[in-house]
Amino acid sequence: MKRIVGILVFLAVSSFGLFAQFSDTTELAFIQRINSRGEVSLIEVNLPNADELSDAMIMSEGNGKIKTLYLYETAISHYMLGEYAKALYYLLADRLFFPSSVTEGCKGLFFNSAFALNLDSASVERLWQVRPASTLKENYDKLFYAAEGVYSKELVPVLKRLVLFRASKYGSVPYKMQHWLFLADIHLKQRQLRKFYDKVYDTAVPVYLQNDVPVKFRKKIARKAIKFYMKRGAYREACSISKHYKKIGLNPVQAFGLMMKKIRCKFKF
Amino acid sequence: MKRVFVLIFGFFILLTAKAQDFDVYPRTKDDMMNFDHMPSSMQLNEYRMLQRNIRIQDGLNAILVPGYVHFKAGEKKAGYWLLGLRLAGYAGLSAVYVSSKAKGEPLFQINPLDKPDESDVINVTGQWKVDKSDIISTLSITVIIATYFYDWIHGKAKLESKQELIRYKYNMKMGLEKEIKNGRIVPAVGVSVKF
Repeated sequence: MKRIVGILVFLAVSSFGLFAQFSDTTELAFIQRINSRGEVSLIEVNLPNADELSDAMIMSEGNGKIKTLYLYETAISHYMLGEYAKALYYLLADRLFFPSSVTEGCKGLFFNSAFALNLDSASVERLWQVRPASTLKENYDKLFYAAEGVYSKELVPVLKRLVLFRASKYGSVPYKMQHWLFLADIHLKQRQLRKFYDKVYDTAVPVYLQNDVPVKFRKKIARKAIKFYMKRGAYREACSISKHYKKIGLNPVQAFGLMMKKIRCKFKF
Repeated sequence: MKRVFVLIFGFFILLTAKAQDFDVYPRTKDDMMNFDHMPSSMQLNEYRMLQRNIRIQDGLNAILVPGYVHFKAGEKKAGYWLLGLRLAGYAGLSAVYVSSKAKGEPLFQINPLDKPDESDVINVTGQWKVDKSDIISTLSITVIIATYFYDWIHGKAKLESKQELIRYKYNMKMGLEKEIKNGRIVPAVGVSVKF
């Protein structure tokens, strides 16, 4: 009797977990269904799940037809909602991590997404030609630099997750990526980043001290960094950046702004 | 003496009434400690939407906080619009009140008589003369009432449609999961070895 009760309890407890997680096949069947029906409201509700699963697929090792199809469908969902940057990101990831006949056949969607982001033909062709690398680490780098080249606000949280995952998996990230993360943290606009990011060196020197970066942007970055640190109560760091900021050469308005910031640093408010 | 008894009686009734939360449909069970078995892919926002329900009390709250129901339904943009419109309505009403007090005129004066200040009056079909301030106050009251009912009715409908979509999504996934497993939902027992 005790055994029967034990088995029943086990079965009952097991059945609680039945719907705890849906299989990738189920998720794929669902997203394919709603995409083909074009139910925008349902696509919108499903996108957080789709993004989460797609990111998990990119960050996990191994290949598979379900993964390549799922990323493709996620891209279609984003495309249907007008989120072209994310559509392009998932198509790029699909091409880099799970190359297959599906990824080769999605040229139309890839080009349409890229053109919708106002990219020129040469840049789109360059993105399309990005090929998978031999190691997973290189693939992460390729995906980051290709997606970052789009300079879209939509992709900032996605790329942040990617950089942090890369850091947790491989221990370190290239300096250029660290600079990007810092610039994203201080909320530098992507359209401003577009104008100088290719001039940023892959060294430990902070961006506001790199000579090749235009002075206008060095000042802007230093100002934003000071504001960022002061907002978080890191007055010492803000003070040390303000010393570098002063050396760049300031006009009277900027000098007055710096003086005010120094007073705030001094009295910590 | 009678009055004293009535007052004491009324006081005790109020005491008991105070202990009750005003709700037409009270909750019959304590679901504060009712933990659900939810799919692990469920987002916090979705869980919140499913837990929420628009009740009489929310309707009352919406009187004090414009856009309350929309905020509760996760429609922040619409909520702020309603908040702005209601505030504009209150501002219009206050302006008319202050101006009529200053002039010493009553509100809602629709009359066929001559008015001393013709610049404040609009002629309607040559017979009726309506004060501009009356139009503003009528518009303001309409905006206040309309935003309140829109908030309550539309907000409730929005929340329900969101809940339907979330339920549809997970129900559909459960159906597909069942289909994929050949229509059999049985607890599976497996052995895994980890090195």
